[in-house]
Amino acid sequence: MHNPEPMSPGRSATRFLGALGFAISLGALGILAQGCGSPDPENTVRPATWSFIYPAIIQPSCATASCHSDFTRRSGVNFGYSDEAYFQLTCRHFVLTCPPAGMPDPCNPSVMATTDPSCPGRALDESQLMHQLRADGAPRMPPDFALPDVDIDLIGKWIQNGAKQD
Amino acid sequence: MALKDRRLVRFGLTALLAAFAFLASARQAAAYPQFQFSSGTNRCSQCHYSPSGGGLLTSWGRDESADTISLGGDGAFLHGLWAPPSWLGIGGDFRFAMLSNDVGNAQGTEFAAFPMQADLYLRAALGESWSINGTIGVRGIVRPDDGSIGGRIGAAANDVMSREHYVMWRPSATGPYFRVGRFFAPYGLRFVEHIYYVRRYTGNNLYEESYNASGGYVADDWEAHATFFAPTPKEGAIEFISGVGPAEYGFAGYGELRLAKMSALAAQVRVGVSPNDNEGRYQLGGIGKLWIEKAKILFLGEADLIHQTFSTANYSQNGFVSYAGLNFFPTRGVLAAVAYERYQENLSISTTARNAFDLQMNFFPWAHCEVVGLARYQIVGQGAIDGGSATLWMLQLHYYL
Repeated sequence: MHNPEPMSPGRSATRFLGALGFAISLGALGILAQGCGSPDPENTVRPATWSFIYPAIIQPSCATASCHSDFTRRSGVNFGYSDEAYFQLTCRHFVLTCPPAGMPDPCNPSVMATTDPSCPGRALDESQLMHQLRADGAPRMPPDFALPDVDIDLIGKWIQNGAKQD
Repeated sequence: MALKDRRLVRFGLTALLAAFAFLASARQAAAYPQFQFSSGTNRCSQCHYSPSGGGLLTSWGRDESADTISLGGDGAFLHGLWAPPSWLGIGGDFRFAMLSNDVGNAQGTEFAAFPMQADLYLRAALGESWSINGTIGVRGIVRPDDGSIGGRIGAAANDVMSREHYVMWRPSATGPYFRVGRFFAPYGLRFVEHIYYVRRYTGNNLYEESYNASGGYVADDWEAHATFFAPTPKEGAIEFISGVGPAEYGFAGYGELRLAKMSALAAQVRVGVSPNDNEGRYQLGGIGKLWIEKAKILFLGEADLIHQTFSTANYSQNGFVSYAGLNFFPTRGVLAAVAYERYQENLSISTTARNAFDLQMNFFPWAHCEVVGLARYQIVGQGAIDGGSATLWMLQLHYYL
């Protein structure tokens, strides 16, 4: 390897700055790595709305280059845009939405929804997305590593609230 | 080595070992802007035509790759069999990867072998100051719908894309420059490995190169870059120039001060606004690099605070992403690295964290050739037994043209 040039006369100052940078990096890491905040097991801190869940969780975790981005569309699923992702999740039945009976079906507006009154109670258990996120009888999604439980629970809360595009 | 230097080395090693002992309960791997300082080069643009590093190698970089980094060979284009004219630069990166990934699936561990990267780099100089630079390649996909050889070959025609293409004014290797086109805005440590949190969660994930107007100044001991960026075309666009990630408009700034050819401090800022999702992302970060010649160790660290606003949801959150790695060069041709990474989506909620421990070995047996072994263990959230961890083993075969 090339030998570094000898240090300049002001090297004590530069050494100090180099060491300072080193220490700052470690310090920031050491302090912040211990985990700020509370566990929030009831998911009360963040909104269980699509306008948060999509840009904060779905887009960065699922719409990646090799998976459900606009140009890869693994298994024909595209989460590259908010509207498209919502359509794919709800109208391809990854998420059970339970539209009110007698109202136009959001996935087929020419047809009136005929939702079973028991549907809202079943929505969480029967949503394929939840089984995939938890690797519960289905291959895990995302396939490279699991989402944090608290994120999965937030998506579950959104589904329980009717999985609205809110 | 002077007494003060020895003390500094001892202090550094002790602090780092203590930090790892304090933080680690498992282990895992890293990648390579690791040749800054360690190979005797002071700035990334000594080895790359890009003023912020990465991509096509300069003749200096090619010489370094053979004489300093690899065990032997000729780093020149085609191993020196033919030299392109001086106005033309040609290069490329080709990677094949095999991996096993355990994410707690009932179906067991996933195994995959796939072409990871096939990029050809071209640069045409237009006189003394101007150049046209471009990359054309085939997107590598780990899990295609049809993973057979025939299926992959058939899909390749649809997967051709250009990750970078820009026009640059740069009258000399040091001094001012300006460029317009598609590339990653200078920001962060700019690792090869896109899975690292400091790439993935700072707007620099795979194929997230934006369209930019960027300028800066590169000197021997410092450099500064400022970039205004806009998203790649997406819906209905030609896939050849499309990308992924949030459709953000914004600004990125990066400044690095190098000290005594052995250390560097950098500050960086990035602001991105995504009108489609009514999201704003504001990042402020720092980088530290320290080369300890006697120990043949390069420390690299990065930490970024991320403030996100979600105006439709009427909510905002603060996140954090960091990387700390030790890169050891025991002998010519070998790089061994350990690293710790952390990403926390929301600093108010401790269970939104991810921790990764990386262990990586890079072997450069001959110029143009590299073998990379990577082991990565991730703990997600609180690391519950029900799949809150992931273990990745990867072997990469890399050839650069």
